[in-house]
Amino acid sequence: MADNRDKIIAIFIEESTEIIEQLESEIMLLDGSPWDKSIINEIFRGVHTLKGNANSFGFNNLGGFVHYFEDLLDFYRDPEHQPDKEMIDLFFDAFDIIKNVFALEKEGSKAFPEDYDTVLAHIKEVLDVGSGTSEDQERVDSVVEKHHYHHEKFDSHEITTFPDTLLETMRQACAEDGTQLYNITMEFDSDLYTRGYNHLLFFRLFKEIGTIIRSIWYMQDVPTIESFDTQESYIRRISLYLLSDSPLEEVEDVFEFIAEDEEVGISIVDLSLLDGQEREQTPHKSDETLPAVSNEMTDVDVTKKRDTAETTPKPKSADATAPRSIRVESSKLDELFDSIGELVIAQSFLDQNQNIRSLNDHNINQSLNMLNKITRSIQNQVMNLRMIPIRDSFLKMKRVVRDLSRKTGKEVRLELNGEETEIDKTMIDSLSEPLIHLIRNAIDHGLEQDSQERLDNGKPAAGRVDLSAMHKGSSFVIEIKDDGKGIDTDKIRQRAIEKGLADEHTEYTRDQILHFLLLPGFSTAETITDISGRGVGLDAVKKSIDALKGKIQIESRLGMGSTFTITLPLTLAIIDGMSVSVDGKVFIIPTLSVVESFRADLGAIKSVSGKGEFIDFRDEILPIIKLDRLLELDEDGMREDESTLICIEHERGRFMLQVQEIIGRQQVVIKPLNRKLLHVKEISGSAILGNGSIALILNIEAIREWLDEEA
Amino acid sequence: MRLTDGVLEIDPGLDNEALSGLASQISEKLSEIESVTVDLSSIPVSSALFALLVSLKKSKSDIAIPALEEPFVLTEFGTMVFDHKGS
Repeated sequence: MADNRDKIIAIFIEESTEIIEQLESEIMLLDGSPWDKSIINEIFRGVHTLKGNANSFGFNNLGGFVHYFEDLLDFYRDPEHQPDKEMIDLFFDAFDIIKNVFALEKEGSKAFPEDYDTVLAHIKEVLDVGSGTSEDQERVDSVVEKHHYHHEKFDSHEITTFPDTLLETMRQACAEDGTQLYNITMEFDSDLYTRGYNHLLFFRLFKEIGTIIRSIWYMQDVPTIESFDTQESYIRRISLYLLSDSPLEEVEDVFEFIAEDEEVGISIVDLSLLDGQEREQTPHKSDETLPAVSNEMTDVDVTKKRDTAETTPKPKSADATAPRSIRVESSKLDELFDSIGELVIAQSFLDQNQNIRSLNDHNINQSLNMLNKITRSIQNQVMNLRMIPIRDSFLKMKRVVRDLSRKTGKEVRLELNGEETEIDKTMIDSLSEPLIHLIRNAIDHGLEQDSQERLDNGKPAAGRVDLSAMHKGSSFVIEIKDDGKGIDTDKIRQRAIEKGLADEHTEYTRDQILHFLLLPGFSTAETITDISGRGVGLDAVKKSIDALKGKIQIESRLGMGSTFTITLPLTLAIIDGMSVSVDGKVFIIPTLSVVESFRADLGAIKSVSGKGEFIDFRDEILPIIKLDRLLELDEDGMREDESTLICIEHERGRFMLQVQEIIGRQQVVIKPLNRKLLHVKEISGSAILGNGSIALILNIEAIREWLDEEA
Repeated sequence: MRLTDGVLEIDPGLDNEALSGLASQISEKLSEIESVTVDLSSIPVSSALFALLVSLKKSKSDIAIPALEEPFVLTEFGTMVFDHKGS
């Protein structure tokens, strides 16, 4: 039971986090258009959902906080009120509190974030002040203290159609002390069912506190059977009449956990006002009679919970063109993906089975080709299930830029490109921190501190950061580009020497110098800010990118700006690899790292005593790593005239990998290593080839580290 | 789906998922359905059942659906009136 609750809480936190991320994007829009009430209404609805969910799942104190936040948003829904920058900041602070509560919950703590009280006090302070006028104060009071009710006119038309016997029954009941006739109108959003509610649930709750006399269901929006979808609620409105001796508050409590754009009206009906009036004749049951009823009715007390931006309720009809989605647990997708991986391997067995191919049967070959096509198609479709646009990660950066801009006092413009470019979902979470750090780096260190300095150099006063994503071949590429000062490579080199990361007598290429920035403990900031530059920064970015089997490149021009380019495989589950053989064993080199391969002219390989072998490749002297020696495969070593050299790209410099033979290029499904091989750093995983043999996947980063240590 | 001699019987105990499956089957067999019965001595699990009845009526107006044609009393839930005509 406890496990189930934990699971439900986890789902609630996940869904609420998604809602908050979406709402933070809306606040960014509001920042640019504070007059746009449609945006603040959207935020209000989202926060309303959060409040209901928080209360439903036992986050009662958070629910209380969100309640005040909701009040604040409601205040600014008023056309006469417009949030300023300070208010926008407060909205962001409120969301940070909610996120931090979830973070603490995930850690198993029921504590509140440090600034919970401060932010709450600020919200309450704003609500107490209002706009200063007595009318606004009254409105604020009514919002905060009177449970958000507003007075509206009761629509009496329905009750005039009631049979006489029914009205008489109701009159007699109301004559009893404390019994009242309530009219409750419910106009729920079409997503009522997907939120776990059902109209009949409220009926069950109402029957606990009174007697349901009659309900009118307005069903005009129901489509014909071909379009019917039980995920959608087509019931436009229900008007329910309840006889109850419960007070109004108890009737209201039935809707305590309702969220989103519901419109619920609760009225107390004074039947005495019906006397002596004309009535509409409607079909009725034989045991009901129709008394004369007044056409005019005034209300004793009419309340409506939370009016929405629209004054007339709109029918919520299904949008046939809107894309629909269902939520699937990641673990189920992972299982499906694994199964597809096994299917691909099994299909490869068949396809490459010499016994079958040697039959040379046309029908069999045709079937195998068809099976190959279908398998690849399924593989692509399943892979696509895991692919999602990087949009949400990019949109988060807007807030990062906004906060940094205010903190540093620098005016910054963020341009996003390629937000719809898709990447494996499992990689997106790991990209967030590196992206945030690179953006921070660009703003804090890249952009000029003084806008006058920019203007003097012919640049616009506002610094610009471009965040772009694109597919290049089988890779996913992200670029973070700023138009700031650029990187001073002399300074970098000097600092690297001071920190013992570089040798003052060695000539380094520009690329190599720039990549000193990615080394642990490197920082050239005169003052280490709390934004970036603690010396723990870009190396952490590199570690994250390495873990995603990607690479990072830096380009910069002094005075013009810098570009950090992250290249990643599209998915971690499959890699595009070059298969090579050494000593009869097959290894896979990720093609992301391969520059070129060739048979070396033996005369071109130079041996340096104590240092190993080198080759001049395009005017660059590159070290050669013999794979059989690196992995201690064969004491005799490869014959030089039988070997092939593969030029490997790496941020700390290219090198050559010497193998016996290149077999080919293929996509392989990555299988994790057995525990017994985990200590072999030079191997990152394994793959099963079509002929059933196992190939080990080389870890280029670890091989480069080995080379650095050997040097 | 229980369709016998043109009479479709719907179980009020169906949840939304089951009603979704039923809706698909009904869509295929629409021409064979002449009337619909629902045992309303027990309270339906989902209000989507009522929407399904209205949907059926809209799809084929000559289907007889007594639950829609006049107000009926659902135990403890009072008289229910379904207004499904017009827009």
